[in-house]
Amino acid sequence: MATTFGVYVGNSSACVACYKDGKADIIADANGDRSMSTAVIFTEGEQVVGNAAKQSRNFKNKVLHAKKAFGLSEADLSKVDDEFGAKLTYFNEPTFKVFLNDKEKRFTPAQVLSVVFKKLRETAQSYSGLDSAPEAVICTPYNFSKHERDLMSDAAKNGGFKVLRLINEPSAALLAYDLGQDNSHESQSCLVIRHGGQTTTFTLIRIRGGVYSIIDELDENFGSDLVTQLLADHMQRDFEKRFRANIGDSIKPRAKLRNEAEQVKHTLSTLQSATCSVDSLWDGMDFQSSLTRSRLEGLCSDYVGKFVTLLKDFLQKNKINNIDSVVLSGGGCRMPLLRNKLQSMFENSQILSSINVEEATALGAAKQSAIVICSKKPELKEEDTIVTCTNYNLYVKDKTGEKIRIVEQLTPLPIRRQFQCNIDDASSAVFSFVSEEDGIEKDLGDMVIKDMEDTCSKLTMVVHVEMDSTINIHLSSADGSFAENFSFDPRDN
Amino acid sequence: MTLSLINIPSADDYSAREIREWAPGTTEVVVEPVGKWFETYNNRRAKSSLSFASVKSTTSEEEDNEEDIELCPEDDDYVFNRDPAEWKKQDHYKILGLSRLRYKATDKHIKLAYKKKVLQHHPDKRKARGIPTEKADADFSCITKAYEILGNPIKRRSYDSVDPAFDDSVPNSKTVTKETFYETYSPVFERNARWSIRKKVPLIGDDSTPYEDVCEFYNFWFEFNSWREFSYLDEEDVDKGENRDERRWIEKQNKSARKEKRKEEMMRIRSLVESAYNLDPRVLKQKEEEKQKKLAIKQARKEEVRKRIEEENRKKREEEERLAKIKEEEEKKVKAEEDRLKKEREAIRNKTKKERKALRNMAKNFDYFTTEESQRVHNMAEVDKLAELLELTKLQELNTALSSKKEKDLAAAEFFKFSKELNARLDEEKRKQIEDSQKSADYSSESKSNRNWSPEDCTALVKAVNLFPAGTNKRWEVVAQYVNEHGKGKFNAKEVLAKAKSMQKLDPNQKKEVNARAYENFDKTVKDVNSKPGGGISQRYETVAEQQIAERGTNPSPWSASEQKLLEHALKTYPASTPNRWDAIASTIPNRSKKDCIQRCKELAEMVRAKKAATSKS
Repeated sequence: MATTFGVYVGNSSACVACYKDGKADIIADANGDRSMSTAVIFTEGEQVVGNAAKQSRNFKNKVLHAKKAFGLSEADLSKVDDEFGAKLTYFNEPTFKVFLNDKEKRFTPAQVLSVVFKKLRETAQSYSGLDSAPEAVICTPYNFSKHERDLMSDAAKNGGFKVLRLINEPSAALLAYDLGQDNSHESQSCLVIRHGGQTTTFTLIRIRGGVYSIIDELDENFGSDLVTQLLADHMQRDFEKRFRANIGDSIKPRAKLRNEAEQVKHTLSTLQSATCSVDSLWDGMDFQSSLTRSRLEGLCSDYVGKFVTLLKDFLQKNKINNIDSVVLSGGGCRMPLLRNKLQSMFENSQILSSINVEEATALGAAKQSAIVICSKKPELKEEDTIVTCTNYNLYVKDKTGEKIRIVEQLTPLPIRRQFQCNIDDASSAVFSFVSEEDGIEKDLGDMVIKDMEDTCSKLTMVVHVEMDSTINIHLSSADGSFAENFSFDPRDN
Repeated sequence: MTLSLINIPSADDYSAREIREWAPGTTEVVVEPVGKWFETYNNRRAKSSLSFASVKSTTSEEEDNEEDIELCPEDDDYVFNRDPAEWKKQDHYKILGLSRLRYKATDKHIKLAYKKKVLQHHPDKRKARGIPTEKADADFSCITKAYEILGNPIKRRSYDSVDPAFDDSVPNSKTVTKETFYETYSPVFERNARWSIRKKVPLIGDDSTPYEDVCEFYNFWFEFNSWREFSYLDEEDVDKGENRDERRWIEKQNKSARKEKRKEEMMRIRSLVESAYNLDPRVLKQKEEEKQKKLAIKQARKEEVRKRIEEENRKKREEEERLAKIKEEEEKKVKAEEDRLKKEREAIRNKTKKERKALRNMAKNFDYFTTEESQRVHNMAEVDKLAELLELTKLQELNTALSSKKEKDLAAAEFFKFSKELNARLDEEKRKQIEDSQKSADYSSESKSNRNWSPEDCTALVKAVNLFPAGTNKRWEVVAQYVNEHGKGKFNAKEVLAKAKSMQKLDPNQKKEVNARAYENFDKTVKDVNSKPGGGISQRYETVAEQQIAERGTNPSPWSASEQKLLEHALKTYPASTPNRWDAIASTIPNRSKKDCIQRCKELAEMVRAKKAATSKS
């Protein structure tokens, strides 16, 4: 089978995964990095992409967070403006201004992203030895409009990918953990927490019959780069105090500090303490210091507090109190303090973070790419994502009077469910059905079976819900001596 | 997969209840297109729509199978007594009894027909039927051959291409009239449409066909893509070739023959389409219409241009008229204004005259305000002065003042007050005038005077002038600053300019003096003068020399050794007979003018003469 790929391009980082021989894996680039920065530097004759570009101090030509600029209105431009990157202006659409040969040049976010895609494509090709365009599933944020999705798709095509399908990032993250994929009976509600460098999104996803549907999403302009900034500011204060220097607003030393702060932040996610050293930070003076994790946590307690408030508000708004799985993605979720907080918030849910948080989305996309390539119908139309579902819960009462759910609300049709029924008496049984629609329960009555053979202490109940929402309930004994059918038919009314 | 277990209560405790009517509902949900279950779901949906179509197609197939075909009875005898070796000449359709269907026969038809024919003509069958058949084998092989050709799509295509039943003819365009166009061409195009690779062939239509369709029809036929090929007519069979070379040769022959035929075919279609296009009444009509339209547009444009020009002319005229009117009005106004002013002036003059006369009379009446003779003369002069010099209003004032006073003394007092006033004013004016004249005199004398230009100032000025050539930004201010810095006095730009101009006008002696003094000063201050006078001259100085030449025509600096050498060389190269000798010489020496050279030459001659005289004396 051909190797297929999943691509995730975020505001700050990008990642490509491949699906090969039944396994999805992240591809490391030529430098051995499994995920790369989306920073792009446009210089004369070449474009530097990735971590090298991020480290560079060519601020004028460095484009950061291009994806975030997608579809921004003129008033919102300041959301993306980064003092360490090229200026974002509005020119029919948001464009980045860079200077080549002292001449101003404009790049649209899509153009910048196509450079990132090109780099990812090279990585993918060198890994797989493909000459042709790699076939890939591309992730897009849920809140992207049709136009923005098209831009993204075009950027990927310009970058040299053959786009199999565009899928939403949170769904890809769920797919990475194969949630709901093992059997189609599973139903769950999941929360995907993506905490990236620039933005944070909380997405509620319902899994019914193995099919995902997004209930709600919150996208907040609030990312872990703020932690880096806090740390950098702290380091700057420390330095200024020690050397009686005044760095002020000088951009170069501050950029140096920020790079170092990012390193320190990463180290402190795994270790208890970290040293930071910046050569010739200011006026030829070197900066050396060490930081402990608790120090960092002290610095960003407000930040974590805000994060938790956002999350709580989001959950409250959706009146969700039972979440089965929480999936973490995005580099910001590495932070131990944040993880602990989440752990205590979702005590009853399983928290999934075994996959590297930055890579989960790309891995999910890679898995999806394998599914699409095997599909008999890979072309997807918009109406294909609209699915007819049940709008009721159907219960049957058991011996203790407790309702056992046999059909769940919002499950895509057709449904086939099989249950094993124990009958103590072995000669008669009562199946009493109850439906529930919008919280209103309705007693549908009983179905009574009498005069059965003694041998039938066990019955198999198969429930079919057809596309036209007819419910067929079929009861049979294992030896076939007994069989009974019953149906609810919408055509009766 | 473990099934969920449900413990179902037994019926004993319950009285049976009927199940109430309940209609399960559905709702539409937007889902994510990810995961295998979605894919399964989607495939299922696709399949359900597919299965419907497939059901349909299978039924139609069955119908085909059941279908029976009728073979043409008139073809029955065709098969008999044919030579299987001459298979190329036989009509395969006729052999199979399909001469009615021909190229329209489907593969199934052919298969069925073949089966029927085989049943009919198989040697064993014939024998069984007891029909005497000498050539049953030959007939049967003809049938087999026919099926071999028609059963194979490629072979059938090549046979169809040269179907003898096809009418290749193209109607003669000369015999076609407007009325017969459609009936003549329509069957021809329909006939030829079968060669088209594209299945949907546009029809020729009729007079009511919209022009776009007509265009499409001709576009299609002009770019007609035919599948007709002529491999069936190959002269020789490739397999006949004994070796590879021969086979290749045969192949080549065949290929060229096919190409030729294909070309002919294309020409045929082309000529057909062209003749049809040229004769098509719709096309002709359209062309005519277009021509008319173009003509109309041209006419309209001409008309428009004419109108525009007319309009412009009209506007121009109107504008001119308007301007003329305005001008006239303005002139009138000006004239009226002038008249008014003139009248006013006249009135004032008359009034003044009257007032003057009144004043004089009054003065006379008052006996010139005095009794003494000398005083009277003086007063008379005063009266005249007042009469002449006072403005009208003042004069009126005076007159009213005088006329109101009856007594002589009072009038006199009034009169003297006015005369005093006037005198004071006159005095004031005079003083001012004098002052002004004095001022201007002062100024001119000041600017003329050299004030106090010390020799140092002068040298500094010369230096500065040379240092800042003409064209320097704010030259004279810069020069003044330089002079102020290096000399003793304080001068402004104007003074410096004046001095410089005056110095330029000065005789050369004085200039030389200034220069000499400058040189001395320079000598005094700088001990180590450059040992190499030639090389010592800086670029800056040379430019100054050039500047001086440009300004004065001579370079006052002393001749250097190198310049001297150049001069001597130049004198030798340009003998006395050369025209414009001195110009030529001057051009060889940088920074020296013609005048310089002549002067230097004279000096040198003088020196030589003096030397000679000295030697002869001794």
